[in-house]
Amino acid sequence: MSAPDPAEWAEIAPHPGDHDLPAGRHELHRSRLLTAIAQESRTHTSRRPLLRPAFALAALVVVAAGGAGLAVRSSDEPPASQPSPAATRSADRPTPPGALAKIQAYGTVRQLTDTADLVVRGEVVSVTDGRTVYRVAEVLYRAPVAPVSTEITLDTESVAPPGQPTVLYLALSDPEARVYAPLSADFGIFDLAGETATSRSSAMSVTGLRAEDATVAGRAFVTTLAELRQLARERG
Amino acid sequence: MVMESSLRARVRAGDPGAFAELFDQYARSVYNHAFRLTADWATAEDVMAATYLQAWRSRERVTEEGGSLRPWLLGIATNEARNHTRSNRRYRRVASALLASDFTLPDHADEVAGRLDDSRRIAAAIDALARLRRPEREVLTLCLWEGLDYESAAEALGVPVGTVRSRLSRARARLRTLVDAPPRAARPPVVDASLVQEGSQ
Repeated sequence: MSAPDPAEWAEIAPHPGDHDLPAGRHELHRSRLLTAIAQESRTHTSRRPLLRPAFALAALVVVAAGGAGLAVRSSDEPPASQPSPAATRSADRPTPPGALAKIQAYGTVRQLTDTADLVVRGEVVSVTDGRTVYRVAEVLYRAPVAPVSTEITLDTESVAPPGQPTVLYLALSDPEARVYAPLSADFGIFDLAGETATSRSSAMSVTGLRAEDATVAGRAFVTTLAELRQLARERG
Repeated sequence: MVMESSLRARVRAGDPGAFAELFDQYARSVYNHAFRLTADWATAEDVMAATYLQAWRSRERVTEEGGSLRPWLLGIATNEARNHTRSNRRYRRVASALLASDFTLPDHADEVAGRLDDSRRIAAAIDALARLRRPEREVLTLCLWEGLDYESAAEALGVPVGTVRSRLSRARARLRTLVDAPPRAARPPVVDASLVQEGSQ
């Protein structure tokens, strides 16, 4: 036999039963673990050579959007993912790296938060004719000009599959029609798994919460929903 | 097995999502194992958290082939618990405090009954564990209550399979002697002076 027979032990060492962690502690420890992993990943990666293929791709995005931003903007039409004029008027808003363009590179979650008209948690309900109906479960931040209800419309089809929880950093792309678009395509989309938030794209991803970390460019950024909420609160 | 191999590969590659999965699947098991080895719920929580962080740091030791990663985690938890409960004397002191304490009871009558049963089971288990040496305690919890086979327990503890068998055999003999000798009510207290002197380990 390769394992003890529990019946033999029932009298001398009865099974004590299995117990759950106290309420809320599973989520707390999970969140702490993932934050620690993210921090250690950054430290570890900083010791590696930087010019990996993924890094080069991310760098290309930054160059296209930043240094040569105007070249990307090829018509007079407003960029689909650009924040609304009302949102961009704020005098105390930090300027993200690079000029406004269709794909604008954001370095930090703070930059996303400070640029967005609306930051919400929720999930896609349906996609029809190029537009997405998104059910809002929580508003993390809302600019005064940004209307919001339990369901909002997004001017894109590629946010997430229906039912996938996400956090979106949105610009009010059509104020009259109350239509939003994620900031700079995938930069403004975080997928949620429990309390863990992971940037949608590894190439189009922030690299830090409050400060950029170029050494982790080219990798999906992992943080927690609690951190996203905290940054939204800080913008107030 | 294919899923386990995939998870192993992702753990080895340092995929945070894989560690989130590991946490969701096995945190409860690690927590209960840690409690049995420390006799303290708060310490068990610390051990569980330390276990997962240590698992992350030692992820490159995970091979891509193999079964469940639970034995690996329980092995790490066992080491972490040793760091918290360095001696048998300390374990028995904590166990004694646990057994002497009143368990917090909820108001609802059904829950009270359930909690009392829980409390009795826990008390009986900790009482038994406190009468063993640490190596025996570790093997007993892994093989008997976590359901690992001898090979998995040996791998988790880094000892030969024969050592697992002999430790389990000693644990059984020791507990059997205690059960058979005096009536249960007349058992000596868990922190018996002779046992304490017998060995910090």
